Amino acid sequence: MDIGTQPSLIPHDAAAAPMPGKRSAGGLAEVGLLISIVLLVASGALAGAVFLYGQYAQTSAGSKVEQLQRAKQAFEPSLIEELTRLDDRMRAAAAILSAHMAPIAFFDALQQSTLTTVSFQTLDLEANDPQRMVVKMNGLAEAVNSIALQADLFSKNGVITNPIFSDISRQQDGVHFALSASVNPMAINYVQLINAASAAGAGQQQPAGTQFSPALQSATQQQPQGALQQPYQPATQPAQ
Amino acid sequence: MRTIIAVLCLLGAGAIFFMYTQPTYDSVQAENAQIAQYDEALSKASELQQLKQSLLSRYNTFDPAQIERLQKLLPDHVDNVRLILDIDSLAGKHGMALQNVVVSQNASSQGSQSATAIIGASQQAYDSLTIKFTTQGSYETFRQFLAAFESSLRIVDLVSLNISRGSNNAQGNAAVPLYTYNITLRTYWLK
Repeated sequence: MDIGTQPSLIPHDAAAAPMPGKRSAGGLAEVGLLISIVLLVASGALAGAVFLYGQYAQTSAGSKVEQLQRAKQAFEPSLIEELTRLDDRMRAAAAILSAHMAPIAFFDALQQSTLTTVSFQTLDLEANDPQRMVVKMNGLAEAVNSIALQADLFSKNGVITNPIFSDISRQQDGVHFALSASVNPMAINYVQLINAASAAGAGQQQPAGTQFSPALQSATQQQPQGALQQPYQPATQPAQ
Repeated sequence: MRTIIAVLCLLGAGAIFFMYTQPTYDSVQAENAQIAQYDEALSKASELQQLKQSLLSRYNTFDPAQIERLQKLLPDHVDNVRLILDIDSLAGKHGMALQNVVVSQNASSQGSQSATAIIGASQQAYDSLTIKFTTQGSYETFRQFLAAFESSLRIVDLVSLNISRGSNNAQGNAAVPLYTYNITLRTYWLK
């Protein structure tokens, strides 16, 4: 009896073991193909999304530009220019006015502090720099004592500072001298004088409607007594 | 075959990504940054609009006559011929006559140091002109003439003044001595 072989309906070939390497290679290729297709589709979809996003951004940017243009038009550039010009004008006028000097105040101070025995024949005022005004004068005094007294008066004067008398020479008509002094810019500053006059209640400001209408007419109507207009009287006695 | 298709798909995906998607996305990002700037500008524009309204309401409170006076105080143009005519007219009112009128533009920039220091040399919004002339008259009339300049609406600064004794009054009034005045004035206008 042959017991080595078992009868079976299953063919031996079919029962043979499958080839594992061949099957795994095919599956990997399928997976790879699937992944690559998915990647291609995803890349395409992403490109489409980016395209749409770009379109949206462009539309949005265009809308913003239009809004900005409308805002620019709403600013009314001509009005802005007018306001800017007015601002510049106000600032510049304030700066110029702050340095504006009142030479009449200088002459007032000069004639108030000039002795009747002293007169000035020439005057040279240099006010190119309002902060460093220099005045040079040639004068005639009755006596040397008058010059000394005059120097004392000028030293007490708040307008004329650092008076230096020089070239003093006694001549037949009196004592000639030269005077060099500085002018205190704060003492003759136009704005400060106006403010001081307003504060004192004495400033009767007259609105200057025309370009050269005086605003301080009261100051100009004062009768000058000394300084350049003061007539010189020759000394009857020799200078001491 | 499948491998070839897979490789082609991968190459296609990479090509789409690197040749279109990424550059386009970068440009969109740049555009977004620009949109952010636009938004910021719009926000500022809104603030400026409010500021403009407040300034406009302040401007409307100004008296037009005062603005006109400010315009005369610091005009847009120097108009030196007109200025000389005004000075001559003013001198005539005081019985004085102008002689040797010399106009020099912008020669006095060094003299406006105090004003320049306030505004700043690079931001100086105005320019100046100097007028030099000679006149004669009594001291009293000269004071009135000078006071008119000093307080004139158009700002006129005295730059230099030289007074010397002239001849006596030709009309026989020997008590009123005449003087010769060499005057240099400076006036300004807005650039």
